[in-house]
Amino acid sequence: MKVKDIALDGVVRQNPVFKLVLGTCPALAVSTSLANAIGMGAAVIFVLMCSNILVSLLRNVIPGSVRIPAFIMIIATFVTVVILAFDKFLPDLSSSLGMFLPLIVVNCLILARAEAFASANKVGAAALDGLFMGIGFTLALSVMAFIRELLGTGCLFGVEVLGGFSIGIFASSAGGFLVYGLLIAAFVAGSNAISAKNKKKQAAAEKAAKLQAAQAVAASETEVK
Amino acid sequence: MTITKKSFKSTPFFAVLILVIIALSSGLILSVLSDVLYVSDEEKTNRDLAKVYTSDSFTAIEIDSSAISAEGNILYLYQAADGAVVIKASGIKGWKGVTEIVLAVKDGEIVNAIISSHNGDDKTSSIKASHLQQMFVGQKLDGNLEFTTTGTVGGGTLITAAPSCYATWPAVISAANVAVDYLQTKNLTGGAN
Repeated sequence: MKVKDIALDGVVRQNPVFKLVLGTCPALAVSTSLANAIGMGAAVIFVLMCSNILVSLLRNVIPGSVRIPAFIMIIATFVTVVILAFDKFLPDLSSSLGMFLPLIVVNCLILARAEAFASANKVGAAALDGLFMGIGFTLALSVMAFIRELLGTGCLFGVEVLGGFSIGIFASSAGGFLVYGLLIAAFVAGSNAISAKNKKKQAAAEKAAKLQAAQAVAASETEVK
Repeated sequence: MTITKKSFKSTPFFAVLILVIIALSSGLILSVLSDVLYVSDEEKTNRDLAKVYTSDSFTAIEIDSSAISAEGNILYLYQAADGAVVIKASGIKGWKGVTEIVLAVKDGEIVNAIISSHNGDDKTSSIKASHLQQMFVGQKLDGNLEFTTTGTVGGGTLITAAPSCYATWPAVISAANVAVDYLQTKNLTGGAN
């Protein structure tokens, strides 16, 4: 697979939050604050990349019958590394993310990519898939958090920007579902519009190519006569 | 009779062996990393002190356990170089776990307040620094200072009305009351040395 395809799949075409609807629990819980969303995204990128690399390296060693427990153990190891590092160097972020850091272990996105991609591809491709899926996850969470924090609290990164104005529902769980649903709808509508446009372009290009070929045949027949 | 040779890799023993190797390797790596990245209680205390009050040095003050309120506990008490007092208290009545807060008091007035840890009560993440500032900073230790859960913070919205904070704010309030109660009982107002 080309790097461009892996990148586009991870960030746009197969966006884990808006398209595949994976990792919904942290997406809703952590997106109340932009700082938390970016922090969670960074943690997921690290775990995704490392677990994908290791799973890919061991893909011919781990028997199929125990691949899931093996993948979970590998993912849990890297999540523990992240927790230890956050506690040491980013204690405020660690405290803010709370139980959702350890819950990365059971984030469907990470196990799904290990099972569906890393276990069937080479290390380089697996690492890139982990990176771009993680970036897609981070961007999705950041967009949700931007909307929810701005409208729900009137702040961004804890700094007041709307002069005290806020719509409380966006900071609540109900608002989280609302924003999530609307963003999925917008994302699907946008990607459908783009693919329809691309299909039109492709159809027009094929038509033009057929016409050209027909004209070339007609011209060569006239020459022969 | 056909004898089918089973490869070692397809045996259950190999599958278990792989799992054991992964588990042992992970355990080894994590035990090394947990030593390297260990955060001691002293480091946590220094972090709290640096966050709540700026001072070149802090001196520990002995805690009189008989003067501590039943609603919580006093975890440490320090005096800064300029006489300000920093106190860490824990409060009950939260959603779960024990919420710990740190107050800095200077010249009889609370100058800063932070949540130190929530010990599993993750709903404290909904309580912002601005909430703590509005609720506690500027309050004077007049001998009768006591906080209630019906205080208004956050631009006039009752903190207890915010669903995520509702269950945890009482723990923060009780921790603050434990702290100010102790300071007022012992007459520790954070005045100049």
